[in-house]
Amino acid sequence: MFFSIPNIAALMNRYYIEYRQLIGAFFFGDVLERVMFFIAFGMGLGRAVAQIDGVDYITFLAPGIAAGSGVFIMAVATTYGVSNRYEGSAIWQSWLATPVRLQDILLSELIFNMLRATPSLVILYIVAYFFDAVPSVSGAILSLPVLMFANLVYGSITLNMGVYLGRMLYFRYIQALWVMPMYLFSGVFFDIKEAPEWMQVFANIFPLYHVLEVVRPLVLGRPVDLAQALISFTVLSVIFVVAFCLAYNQFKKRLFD
Amino acid sequence: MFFKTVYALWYRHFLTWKTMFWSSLTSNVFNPLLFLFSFGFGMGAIVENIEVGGQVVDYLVYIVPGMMAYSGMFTASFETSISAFARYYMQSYWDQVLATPAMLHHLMMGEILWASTKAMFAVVCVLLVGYLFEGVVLDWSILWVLPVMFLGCFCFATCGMVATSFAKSFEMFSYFFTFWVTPMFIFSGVFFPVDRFPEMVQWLAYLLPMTHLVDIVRDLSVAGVMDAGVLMMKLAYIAFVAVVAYAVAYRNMKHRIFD
Repeated sequence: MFFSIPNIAALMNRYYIEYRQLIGAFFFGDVLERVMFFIAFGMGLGRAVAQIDGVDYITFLAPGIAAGSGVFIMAVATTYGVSNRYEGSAIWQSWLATPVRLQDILLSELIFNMLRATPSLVILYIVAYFFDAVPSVSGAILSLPVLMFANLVYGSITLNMGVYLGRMLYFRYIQALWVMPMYLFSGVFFDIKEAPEWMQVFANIFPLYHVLEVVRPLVLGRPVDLAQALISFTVLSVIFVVAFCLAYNQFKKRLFD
Repeated sequence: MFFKTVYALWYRHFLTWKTMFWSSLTSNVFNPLLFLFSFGFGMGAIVENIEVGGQVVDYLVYIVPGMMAYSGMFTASFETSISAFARYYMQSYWDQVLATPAMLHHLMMGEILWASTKAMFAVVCVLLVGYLFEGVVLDWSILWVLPVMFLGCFCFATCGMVATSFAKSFEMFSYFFTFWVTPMFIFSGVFFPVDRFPEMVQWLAYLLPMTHLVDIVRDLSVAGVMDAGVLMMKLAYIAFVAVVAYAVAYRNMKHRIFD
């Protein structure tokens, strides 16, 4: 399995042209939804929750919303979006008739959607900055590559779920059984260390929890446990590689056999 | 004649839904369970002072009525927007119905009433889940909540119809969800009182029918009492939005299908 960089570049250009047409539905939807969640929960629960983990609630929330936003975007794009492209409009088949190979398509799907999710992250941080909710600006900038890598990992996982489930009808199970639990139990909205014991154990299975363990201290300007971060990074990389290979095999079966 | 035709259309939706009963039950029960666990237990551990009608309550008790209204709102909005649009645009189901003696009024009422019924199923699921985790007390005052919820779901279903009457493609619904459904999820008091927002945002929040519905449902199910005058005003507002939305949707649809 070798990747061809010119092919990927060509596909990225094609995605970009498509994105330009749909910018209203994509960009504003992505950005507004995150910003509204941030402002509403930050203000609304801010007064009910005095201090959490030693900071104001809105400050605690900013990295949570930033890390969680990619989960939704990647999940929808790698299930509904991908299925639409190889079953609905069958455009993958047209690409495969050119020198573009399956691995190029899969990787560029992941990279494009990761890049698409990034502007909404930056805008969220800017809004949070005006609410005085970003204690460490350099930490926030450093957290961007971490979150971009994390988005690739979420995408590779849901890509597998999508292709194994196969039919669009079943994709809502991915939302119900993977995306929502991950968003709600990984400590986006509250400090998982103050939650009941069973929830803390449960949180460990979600990548988002491990990403937040690194990103939240970064944005709050606290020292990051480097050894722990390295372990998380290794585990996430392994998940990404394995998930990518599995998805590749399954897509190969579906499209070529 | 009117009721008979509307019933026939409603019954058709019911028959298709029956084949998917189990998957629909799973998602209707599972989704609120997730929220109740996460917010009720996780968030509940750190939330200190939440009041309903002057008395401090558990956070779990606070969000169960909000979740009821939310799942009703979401189900009703989704059914008359994306699902109805799929029936109209992709399956040509509407054209087939209009080829029979049924008129556009019947068709729209059938869609809206079906969406409200489906939404009520979601509401009852949340109510039962909330009851199991002691987030709500089942007594006679709950009987008042259900008709109010039905009116609310009816209102949201007609609003979804307005979106359908304007939509040209499925992408258009992302505006409907970003500017209508999501604000009603986060600014209408599902998770926290509206009075925490600045004055301006509060005004906007009270324009949304959802805010009034959540107010009524929460006061009736937690405190058990509500000032009759205020209650009437809020109900009248919800009904008013429903009537206006229906008129707009009907006018648009008529234009679109027959002209």
